[in-house]
Amino acid sequence: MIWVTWAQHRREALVSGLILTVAAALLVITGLLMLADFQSSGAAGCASAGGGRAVGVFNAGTTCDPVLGAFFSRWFSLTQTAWLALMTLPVLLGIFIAAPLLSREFEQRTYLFAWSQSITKLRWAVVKLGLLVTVVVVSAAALTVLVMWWHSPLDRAGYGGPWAAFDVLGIAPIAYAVFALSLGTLAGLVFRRTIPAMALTLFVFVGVRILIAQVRPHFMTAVTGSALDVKQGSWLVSANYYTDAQGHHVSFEQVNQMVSVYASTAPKTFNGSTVMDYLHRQGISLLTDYQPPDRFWTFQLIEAALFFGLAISLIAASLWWLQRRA
Amino acid sequence: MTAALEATALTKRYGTTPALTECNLRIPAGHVVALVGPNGAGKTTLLHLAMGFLNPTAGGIKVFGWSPQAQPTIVLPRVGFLAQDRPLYRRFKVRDLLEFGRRLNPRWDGELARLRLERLAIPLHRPVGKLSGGQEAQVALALTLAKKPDMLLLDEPLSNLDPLARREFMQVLMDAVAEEGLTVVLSSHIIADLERTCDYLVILAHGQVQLAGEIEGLLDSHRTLVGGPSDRALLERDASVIHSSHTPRQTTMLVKLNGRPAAGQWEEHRVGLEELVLAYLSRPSGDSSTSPESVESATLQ
Repeated sequence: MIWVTWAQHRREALVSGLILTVAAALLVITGLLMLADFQSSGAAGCASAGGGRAVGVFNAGTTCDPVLGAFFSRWFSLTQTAWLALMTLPVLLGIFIAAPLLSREFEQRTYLFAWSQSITKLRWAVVKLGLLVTVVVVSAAALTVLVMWWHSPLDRAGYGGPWAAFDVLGIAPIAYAVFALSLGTLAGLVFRRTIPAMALTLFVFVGVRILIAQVRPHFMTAVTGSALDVKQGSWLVSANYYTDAQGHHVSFEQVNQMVSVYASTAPKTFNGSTVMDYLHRQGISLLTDYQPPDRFWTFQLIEAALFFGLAISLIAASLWWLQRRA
Repeated sequence: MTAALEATALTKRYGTTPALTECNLRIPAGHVVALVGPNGAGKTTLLHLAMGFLNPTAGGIKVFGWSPQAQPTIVLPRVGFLAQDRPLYRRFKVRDLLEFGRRLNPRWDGELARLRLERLAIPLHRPVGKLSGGQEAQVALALTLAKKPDMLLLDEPLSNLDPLARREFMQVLMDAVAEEGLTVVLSSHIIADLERTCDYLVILAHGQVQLAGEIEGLLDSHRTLVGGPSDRALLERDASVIHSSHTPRQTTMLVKLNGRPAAGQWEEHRVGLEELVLAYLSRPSGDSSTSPESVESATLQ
């Protein structure tokens, strides 16, 4: 049955293999260029010197910031393109490989030929699907390792930490791919027609990805801390906001009023840092909610568990459908 | 003796559309069976149920005594199935399909298939999609026979074939039947295709078996009667009327005799197979005065 599946799908396998090879070659070439630039522009030195530095506020003026800033802007558009391309790979897999996997056999009625051999329809589906899952997991894992190597200069330079590339790093992309292929397979099995199966795969995949991305900031209760010293590589999940000594929210208008009162009473000493001291004495703090960098892998695990869980349910549903409803 | 195919109160609905309704059928092994009925009668559904492709809504089906749904690994190697329009992987070369069959069937006889195809001058290195319709049908048949089945189920095997290809197909099939003593079920909506080769008839209409039995016995137990319009009442004792047509001066009826010859004032003719089939198929739905059991007793008289 493995030979049979290979014989039947070698064209798709070769095309997919070619696409992956080209993608990997591009990643290696641009990755080496980026790494060379990272070293030669001095960004590497700055990154190791500035480890653990606070992000964001009032930190300009060091000689490193322009160096790192220039490094990011040189690689910005390439990074964006690469993320977009990598993020579409799972849904392409779902639409063009998984959705036709069974629906094409139903459309061309070749499933009747396959089922007329001495293997059960359940085994036919399990081998096809199992082989596809194996190939996809292995290639997605290999590709993700490559992407993580490719992305590492950006990480080390503190480009929003790995959070900014959450969708293409770690184990989540593997889970997206397995989810996409189980979704496509079930759609193909239920509709028995390729085009509707492809359309459903596209809409459900994108819908579920958006939905879970909305929920993702709340996987764990965010840490609340002063907006002035959030650790580098944290994921800010709220805008900055003010609270008073009792911890109640204070609106920006109220704070502005206090600041203008202070400005009129002490116009001579009024500047950025005295205002902050003044607000601090009044019990006002500028806070933000964030997920610290050490939670990255926990979040990856949660995200991957969600999508692997969905994938397993869809595969179970496919086999049930084939056995009971077909 | 175990029946090759046995259906007991077999019912299959697709949603609310009934395909088979409480269908009873028993086909003894060793026959070449014509499964006849109009399009949509449930022939394909019956064959797919026998292969375990579908699950019955109610009732059961057995193949050589085994359930195709519960024991597919026992049933599948014993039954060769050729689906309607003979679907094959068209990108595969003939040789690759033989390899496909070898890997998926424990009783495979690839050498036999290769010899058959070589005898028909079908090139093994050519993709199936590039063969003629008749050659494609021969490849499909050779693959089905190479499985070394005890029974062949062929769903409209002659559809879309030209007359010459039909004849060659039946020739190869009947040679194989003669060599290997297979049970064969051929479905068709055209009886003429099957008349010369089959010795057993199953008529399926409206999701139920209308008639089943050995063709010889069925022809013996049915008669066409021609007589005056008033004689009908006298007849009812001796025979069941399957189909009748009237003109002002005469009545023509196809009847099943209940074990004794019909009363004398009728002009009596033997029936032909096509005539018999048409008479049963033209009965309105729900009229199953001839239950399969009584049919069987009639054929065994």
